[in-house]
Amino acid sequence: MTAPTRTRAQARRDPTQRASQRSAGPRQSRSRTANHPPIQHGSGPRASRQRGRGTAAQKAYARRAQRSETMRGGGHPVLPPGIATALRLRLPSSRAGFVLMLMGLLVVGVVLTLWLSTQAIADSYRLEKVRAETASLAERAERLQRDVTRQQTASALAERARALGMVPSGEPARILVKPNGKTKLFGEPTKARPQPMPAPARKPAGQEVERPPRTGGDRDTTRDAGNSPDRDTTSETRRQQVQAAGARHGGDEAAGGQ
Amino acid sequence: MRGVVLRLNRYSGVSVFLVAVLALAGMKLVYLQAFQAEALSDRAERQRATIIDIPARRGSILDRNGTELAFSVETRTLQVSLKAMRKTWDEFARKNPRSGQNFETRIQEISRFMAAKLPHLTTEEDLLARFRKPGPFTFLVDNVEPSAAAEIRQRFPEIAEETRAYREYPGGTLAANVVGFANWRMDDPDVSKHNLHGLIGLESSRDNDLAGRPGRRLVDTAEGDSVVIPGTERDLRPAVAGSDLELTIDSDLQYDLQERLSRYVQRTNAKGGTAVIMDAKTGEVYALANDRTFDPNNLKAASPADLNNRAVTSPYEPGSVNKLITAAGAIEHGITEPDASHRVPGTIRVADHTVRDAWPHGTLTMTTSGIFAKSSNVGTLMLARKLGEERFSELVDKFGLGRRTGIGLPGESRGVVPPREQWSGTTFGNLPIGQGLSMTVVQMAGMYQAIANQGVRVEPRIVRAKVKPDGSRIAEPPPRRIQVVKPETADTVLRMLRATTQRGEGQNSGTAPPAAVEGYQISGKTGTAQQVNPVTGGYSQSKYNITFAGILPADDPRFVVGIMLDAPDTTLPEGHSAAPLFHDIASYLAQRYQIPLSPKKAPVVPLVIG
Repeated sequence: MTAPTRTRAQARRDPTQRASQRSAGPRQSRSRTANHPPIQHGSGPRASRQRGRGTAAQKAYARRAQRSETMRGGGHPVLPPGIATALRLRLPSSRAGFVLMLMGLLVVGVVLTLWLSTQAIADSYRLEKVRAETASLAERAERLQRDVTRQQTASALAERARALGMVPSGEPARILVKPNGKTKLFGEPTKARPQPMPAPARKPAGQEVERPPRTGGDRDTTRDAGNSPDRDTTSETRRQQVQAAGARHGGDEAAGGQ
Repeated sequence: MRGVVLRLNRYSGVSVFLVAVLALAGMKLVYLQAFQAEALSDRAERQRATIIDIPARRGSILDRNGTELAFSVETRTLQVSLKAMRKTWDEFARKNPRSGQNFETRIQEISRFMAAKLPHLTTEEDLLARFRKPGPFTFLVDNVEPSAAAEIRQRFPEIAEETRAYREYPGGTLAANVVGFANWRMDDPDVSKHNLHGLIGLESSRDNDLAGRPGRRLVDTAEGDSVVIPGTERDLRPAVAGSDLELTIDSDLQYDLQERLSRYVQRTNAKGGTAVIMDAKTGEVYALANDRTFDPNNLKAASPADLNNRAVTSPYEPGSVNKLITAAGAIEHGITEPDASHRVPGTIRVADHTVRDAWPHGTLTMTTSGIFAKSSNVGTLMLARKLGEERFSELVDKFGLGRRTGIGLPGESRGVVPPREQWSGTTFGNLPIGQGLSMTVVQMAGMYQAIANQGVRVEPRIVRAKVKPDGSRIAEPPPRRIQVVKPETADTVLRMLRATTQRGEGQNSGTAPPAAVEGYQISGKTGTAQQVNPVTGGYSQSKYNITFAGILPADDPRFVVGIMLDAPDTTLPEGHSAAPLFHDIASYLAQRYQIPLSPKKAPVVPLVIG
């Protein structure tokens, strides 16, 4: 909507012009389906020019101006009747209308903001869900990889081979292929024999029996002073560390709590 | 005169009302903003701001081929606040008596579900017992997979979870003495610092490299939820993952060595044994084994003896393998040549006691090769006397005895070498034949590595590099290289010691023909050292350290193997020499690394010529 293009002072000075406008307004709205306020292009400078004239003359000029605007089309767009009906555009013609329009815009803005932020939150939830899924899949992949690694180690393979009844091959004979194509055999190929499984419990070491030594230096029982082999002192501290860790490892109840 | 007319109609009434409301709102606003702003915003912040710790991933330990020996797995620990739960459910039961649900039914439901979901971790009875504890809080299950934990928590929101990790050792006992063990530590009052830390082995000594640094992010969350409000992340400090460690160990070789050593020690009824396989040129340790070790996946079953990495912590008197020093010294200083002959009696007097050879004999004419191939104590002491105490002591030091190798494993022992100033008359009668000093199996193999590498001793190492989380590989600082003897000397000694494995006519066999591998030249030395008898304080007549050090192949050295057996039954054929064990190890080495056969057979040299 357009603000009045004349100041209050001007309007008070030309009450008749305002009156004529008012009268022109409803007539225009009846005659034209597109209701635009009459755009008073020339009313500013015209008003100042008109101030110099008499009241009657003013009125006459005003009416002429209105008519010429009507005929020209007034400088404001007039939609062809069909479309106008369909669109039903109602731009406010008054202050109240303007306020309402603004409020409408505000409401639209607020609704839009609400909707966008709701979407953002919804996306956040969706993201969380998808992230959880991805994490679970990644975890599965890792678990499978770990299984592979575990089964690939030498000890695991040896176990499986033993379970299948395979035996370590033992010492191979070697064949040397000379440049002239002749081969030479080193060693004697023997059949692989199953090795006895290592006993799980260690047998105690042999008793101290006085036996003449087969090899090795034979010397008097005296020995040099100050050459005791290094007894490691680290094992004691290590044992204590491990026992403490064992306690920590097993019972972690003491550490938790609120 | 026109004044403002006070019109008492509804317009003015409404406008007055609105102004009044505005004024009230304005005052409240001022009150809130000026006086209560701080307190209220703090409370709001606390309600929604959540610190999310980003745990740091511990680095893995890999062997030289990239096989994983240790890696971390993320897990969850489920726990519950019993106090809060009891309160909630008692209240619920009070308000809805007809629903028939209370704390007891709830815990039964939870226990059943969890036991069904995690059969390998817990049982229904165990969970119920934990729920019924009188305390305010309890842990429920440890080591739960994250997805299973999420499922359980979704179904029963009162159960809380804590992110942890545990260390998995896929190889079990494989290289456990080297890799060690790490576990979750919760001692730090700062929860974000809870992490895996090493306890034994490389996990412990290289913990600074392996453990990362946790990160954190501060986000706003919907209360009680884990959904992050978008756009509210701040204070992001990313976690720094730990570095991976690349070892010089070869898994397959390590497994083989561990197996063979264990079996051999059992077969010979020995108290224990250690062995090492080193690269002859670079000093890299390909395998390091003790006869007994532990399974890091099941640490509770281990005894303290299993945890001790005796290969580097426990030195022993080496016996005749130490004759290498005399041999190297004698050749280096031109005292003798391999084929020079000597008149060697059956006994020799040193200070106040008599030293005999392992086999009784009269005076024999032996070559220098023969003295060492047949391990004659008398001949060695004769040569040592010519070498002199000073030069001998110098060589002992150059060969790295009495000082740590810096291999990189915790608890390494220096070994014991009596200081030069404290040598008595008998010291020099003991040291050249390997009694009266002690060394670890790594130090022993290191001596032979010098001979195999043109006299350049390279300090052995077990960690090759560390790989940072960004992928960059940082090699370890290179080990020290010491020229122990001249290259020609080393070659000569290397060739001379081939005679140890030779089988000749009459007395011309070395002490270890079983160590020979058909098709390859082998250089080596046997050793038998009397153990100290703790009762008498003197040397035992029945308990020995049986040692062996060998180089394969002698004409183009690739590997050095050192073996020590603690008090095997010397009456058994396998018990009085470690040569058969060396033979098996060497044969496997030749296979695994496809070592080409030696072009020529080692020549059979005369050892005893009269």
